[in-house]
Amino acid sequence: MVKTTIDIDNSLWKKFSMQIIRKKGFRKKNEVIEQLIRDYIKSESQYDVSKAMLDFEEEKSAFEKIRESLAKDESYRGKYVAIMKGKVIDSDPDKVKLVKRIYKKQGYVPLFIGFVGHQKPVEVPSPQLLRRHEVRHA
Amino acid sequence: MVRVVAFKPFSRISKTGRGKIDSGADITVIPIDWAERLALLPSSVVKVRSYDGREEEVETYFIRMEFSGFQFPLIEVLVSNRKDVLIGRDVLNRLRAELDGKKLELKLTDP
Repeated sequence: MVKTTIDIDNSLWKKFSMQIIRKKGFRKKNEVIEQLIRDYIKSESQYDVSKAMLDFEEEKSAFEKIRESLAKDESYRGKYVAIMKGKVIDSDPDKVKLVKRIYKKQGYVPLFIGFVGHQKPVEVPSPQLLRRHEVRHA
Repeated sequence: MVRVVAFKPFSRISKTGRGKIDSGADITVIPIDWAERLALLPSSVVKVRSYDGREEEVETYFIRMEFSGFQFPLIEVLVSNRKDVLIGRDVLNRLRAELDGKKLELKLTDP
């Protein structure tokens, strides 16, 4: 165990103290703060760039494998398809609508959204544009 | 320059910083540290033609974005090794932008 002191806004601390007293009774602030710190560490360490990229590449590669067969299917041609765990789970001509629907249903999970057909490149004249893995390995 | 707030989709986790209007860019670009801070997951790819005519496939991410009182619930963005956000035409085309070059003023409205 370690003892520590922090500077904190007075009204913020009062509000926090009142909420703890109301919900948990006296002398429970330490427990709540410790749990908040644990949750913070957990949420920060859950994000692993390499893992996120690996999951993404797996889903992307699953899409590349079935891309040709999807292009032969009229129900997918000219649409965006969502790939999760290697399978098509949904499709829509509107990419944003598709993503919104999936995140609402599945939560914020690894997936790949691919277009079945040919897409024109987008123009970004910024000279600083780099792929994420190039930045990581730079 | 505008103050931009980016959020992880369906979350309150946010990052605030400076944004520049870039009417030359088809798509909005955010700094790579923001993607890491917001723990964004790559979701798709677009083929990008850069300033030197080079084309390459680049990962895209989805965020919620706010600036100058405007809210964009879900937009697709690129990440780049830069300090500020580039607000591209994907966002600007939803607004009316009036540039008064003589007064060095840019007025954004949503008619």
